[in-house]
Amino acid sequence: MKDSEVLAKISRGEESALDFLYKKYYRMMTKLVISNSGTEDEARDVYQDALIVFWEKARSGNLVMTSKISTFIYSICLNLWRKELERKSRLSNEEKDDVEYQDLESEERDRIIRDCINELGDTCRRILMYYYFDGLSMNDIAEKLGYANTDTAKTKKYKCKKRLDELVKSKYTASDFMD
Amino acid sequence: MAENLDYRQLIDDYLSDNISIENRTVVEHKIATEPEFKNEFELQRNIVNAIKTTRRLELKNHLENVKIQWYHKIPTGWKVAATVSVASLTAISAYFYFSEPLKRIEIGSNDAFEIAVPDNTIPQKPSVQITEIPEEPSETPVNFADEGTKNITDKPTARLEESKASPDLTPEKVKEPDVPETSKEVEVVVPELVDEFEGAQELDIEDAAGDNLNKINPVRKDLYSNTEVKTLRHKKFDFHYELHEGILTLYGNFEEIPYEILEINSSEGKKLFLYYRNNYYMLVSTEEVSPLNPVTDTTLIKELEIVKNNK
Repeated sequence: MKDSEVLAKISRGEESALDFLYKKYYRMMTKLVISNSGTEDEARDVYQDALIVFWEKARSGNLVMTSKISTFIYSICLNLWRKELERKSRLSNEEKDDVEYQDLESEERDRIIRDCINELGDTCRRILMYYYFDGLSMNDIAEKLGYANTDTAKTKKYKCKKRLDELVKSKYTASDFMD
Repeated sequence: MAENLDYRQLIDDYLSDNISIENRTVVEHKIATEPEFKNEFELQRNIVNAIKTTRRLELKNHLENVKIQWYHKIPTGWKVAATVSVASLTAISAYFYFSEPLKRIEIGSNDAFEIAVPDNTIPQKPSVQITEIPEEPSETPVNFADEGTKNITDKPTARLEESKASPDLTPEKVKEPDVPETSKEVEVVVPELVDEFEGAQELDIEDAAGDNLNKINPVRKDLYSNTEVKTLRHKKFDFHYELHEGILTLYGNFEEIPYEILEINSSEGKKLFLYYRNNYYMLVSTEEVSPLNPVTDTTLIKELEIVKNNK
């Protein structure tokens, strides 16, 4: 599959393009991490994150490719692994307590919201993810989920978002979030 | 309330990056000046971030389940072995696949040319085989490989259309669907007959033979030679012979007076001689019908006499 075909598939939101890239460059990208003090698990983690970053950028419509996809993903992997190495280094040198406390608080808040998201039905979850993460248009969402038209998708999205807001607010008061 | 909805929509547009520059400025101004709006904005931003995180986790989980082990952990040796195995299997399969139909065709063609002979005519002979003879259609004989079938006469060439008149070779018995009958010549080969076979006396295809057909005599195998011998009456050739590919054909009236075939193995190879009416005739391998010329060399004649008497 050529790079242009891969990008075309991603623009249509076809995850098979992601699978293709993942298989094709797995060895090359994980080798980058493993040969730079990383484990295979870390290498796989970084590579998966890099592919998702690439997916987001390609989906945003603002990506202008001046190199091959492999080169682009390689540079993302490199940056992510550098950040991870810096984070590891920082954690080993600084006092951990305060950082860990803030991280835990933030993580707990995210976990609660994710629980609420998971309480929604699969369709609501998909609509919200396609809209906020993949950046799909209402027309694309309607097509992907088999709705009759864009308005149906719009209404559905509005209701799902409202439902999620209510769920989150029912579990925590605003003051719990706004500290 | 409507104002509240508009603000929500503004925040949503802002977080999904679908907002105009003008509205973006409005949102940022409100965040800076209105604490309540700011709280709502933070809540919505956390929710949207959580949605994005959920999707990222979903995609990661999806990638985690993609099987990639096969793509990078198989040793090269295994790949080579697998390739060789596949190639070998393919070759073997191809061999059997392409050789089997040939075998079927061979069997099928034999079946197609087989003629069943009625039991009341030739009880010991299950079938008469008909094969196509491409050369010299008018001179190709119908042969019966036995000495005891001398009553079968006068049919050097049997065409299928002619055999329609024969009670024993009716078209219904010929399983040969694809070949036009008019262009077919047939050689009827009967397997070796047992000596006590009497049914052959009843086999008579003279009815099917026209006046112009030559008489057919059965092929015999000389007792002391591997050469097959057959005699044939022919209008054109009288007292001639043809020796080709181990088959000796004697043209002329050889039925009434006995003849002998002598085989002498010397350093020059195997030589065949015909003894007939107190004369010896040397038989040389030839594809053409040649006249029989008597041997005149007295020394050779003496040697042949010795061989003949010692048989």
